[in-house]
Amino acid sequence: MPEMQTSPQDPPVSVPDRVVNDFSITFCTINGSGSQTANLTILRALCHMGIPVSGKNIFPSNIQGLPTWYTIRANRDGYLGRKEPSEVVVAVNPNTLLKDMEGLQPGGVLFYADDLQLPVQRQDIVIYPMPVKKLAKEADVPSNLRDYIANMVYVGVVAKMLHIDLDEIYKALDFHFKGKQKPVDSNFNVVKAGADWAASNLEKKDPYVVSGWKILRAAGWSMEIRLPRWAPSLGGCSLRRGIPSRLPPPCQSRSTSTFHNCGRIL
Amino acid sequence: MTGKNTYAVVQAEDEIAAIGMAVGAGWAGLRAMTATSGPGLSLMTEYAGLAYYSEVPVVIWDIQRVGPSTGLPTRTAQADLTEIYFLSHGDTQHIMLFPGSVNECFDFGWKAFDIAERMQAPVFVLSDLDLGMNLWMSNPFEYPDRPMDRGKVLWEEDITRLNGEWSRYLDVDGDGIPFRTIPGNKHPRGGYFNRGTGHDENARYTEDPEVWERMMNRLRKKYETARTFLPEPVLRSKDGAKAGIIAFGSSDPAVQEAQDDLEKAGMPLDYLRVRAIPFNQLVEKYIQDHSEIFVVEMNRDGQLCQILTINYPAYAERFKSAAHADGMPLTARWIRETILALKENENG
Repeated sequence: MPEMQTSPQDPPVSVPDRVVNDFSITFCTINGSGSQTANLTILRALCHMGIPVSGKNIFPSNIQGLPTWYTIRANRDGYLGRKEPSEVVVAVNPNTLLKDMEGLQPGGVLFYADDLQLPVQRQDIVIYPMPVKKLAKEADVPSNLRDYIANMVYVGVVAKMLHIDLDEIYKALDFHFKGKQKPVDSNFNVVKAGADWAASNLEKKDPYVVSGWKILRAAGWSMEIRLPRWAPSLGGCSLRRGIPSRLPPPCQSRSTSTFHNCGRIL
Repeated sequence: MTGKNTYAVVQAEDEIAAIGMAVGAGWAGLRAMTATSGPGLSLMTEYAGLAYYSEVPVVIWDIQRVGPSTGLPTRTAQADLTEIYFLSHGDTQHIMLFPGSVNECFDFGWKAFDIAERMQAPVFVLSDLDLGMNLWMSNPFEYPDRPMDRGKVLWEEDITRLNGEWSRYLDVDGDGIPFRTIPGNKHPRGGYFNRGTGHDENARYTEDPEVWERMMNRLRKKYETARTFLPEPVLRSKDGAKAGIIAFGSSDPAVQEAQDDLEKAGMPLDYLRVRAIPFNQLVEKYIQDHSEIFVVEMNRDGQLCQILTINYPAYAERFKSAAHADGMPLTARWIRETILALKENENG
């Protein structure tokens, strides 16, 4: 278990070598910038990988330009309540960068848009820069859509570094854009550019990864072990009737797609 | 099955109009609901009293957010309990449902209509912004597994069997629930009555003090009857637990996680998630069985704790309020640390 130094006077923080399907990500963005599409894409991809996941949107009241946070919690035991502090922060809002950095758990991971000036240095976290503006500029999209599509850069970088399946990212975009090929492709091209850039330029130094059920099953993980822990967190659902339809491979069709909010099946 | 749309969606100009339309539809024998949040409920107050006293079925959803005033309109809370518990003037008692997941939101969506018609009363469903605006993993929704329950309705053949003798506000069965007809009943004695002013068993206007008190006491009896029709609380127990948690609504995932964490820390607690007011008798049994109860909720004043204290004053000292209101969904960590701190203060 490696150690990280928090500050000269603090003891080093112990960080596990590998943390699978057990962390929360906070995306720190600007209201009205199109970040919701990016965040939901990651959320849906994790769901479709078979990982218990929840998303919470903390946003201002119809005021464009104010800070917005979106927190995704992935938890292999099925605990889906809000968790703080986050282990992973994705920061693209210059106005909240300091606060967002300070809120990151020791041993955690900061992804940040590299055009932002980091306000402080923390030795107890892993920091990954992301060339958001550069890759968005290079994207083959109309200039008026460039700011919106820029968020897909962090989708690609985060997906690559946390091992989120890009096929599932594509499916999530396809779902979001209702199969319209042009927006799906233009967004996914930017995701791919971000992921390719991360593969060529970043070295994985943090312990956090996601692993879909197919991979876990191949590695000998037993699904049955997870049933009793997974079930109670679903609000008293029927174990026998409810759970089997949710086990891997989950979310195969709209009828078992499992993201709901009140009154709307998404 | 007609294959036709047998519903109407009406855009009202404000909350007063919305509740007026919904109560009006209920008055006319239709199933009707409207949805709002705390400030809208304030505007609906007068109509809530009318529906309660005239015994009109109607469903009102409250997607709770942070108040008072416009407050934090995009942040979540569980802070409208006392508002609804005491909603309207005079002696009122309202039925409240607390869904704890999106599955229960769906489930209570149709069950609330059955309850409203069975009890001939307004039913308030208290969801919140965390449930209403975020995405949740869930099981596929289960559609109604039984025909709709329209409650104590007299149809033409019933009135014929009764030789036309019936009274709109008469407690025939001793459960406080009267019989009603629905507009469109073709029996010549199937006339439809409802009255929001003082009335007797035949819906005739009266200012007789004895009759007034008798009618109000029947309404209280009906409220008692409601306890047996509402969703039961959900118990999640732990071996060796002597103390317990009571919570409701969307805090459920965080409470379950905190309960498991506390068990690992050597403090097993049972957990009862209440799903309705008036409280089911199982709630009182739970309180009797636990020497100490932590009431976890998302508001400043511990509103559920207050309502439990009002309902069970003999056990008031057992309730320990763990209330928090910052507009964010509760975390297991906050619940765990708060309960441990309450315990430590007590040991002091």
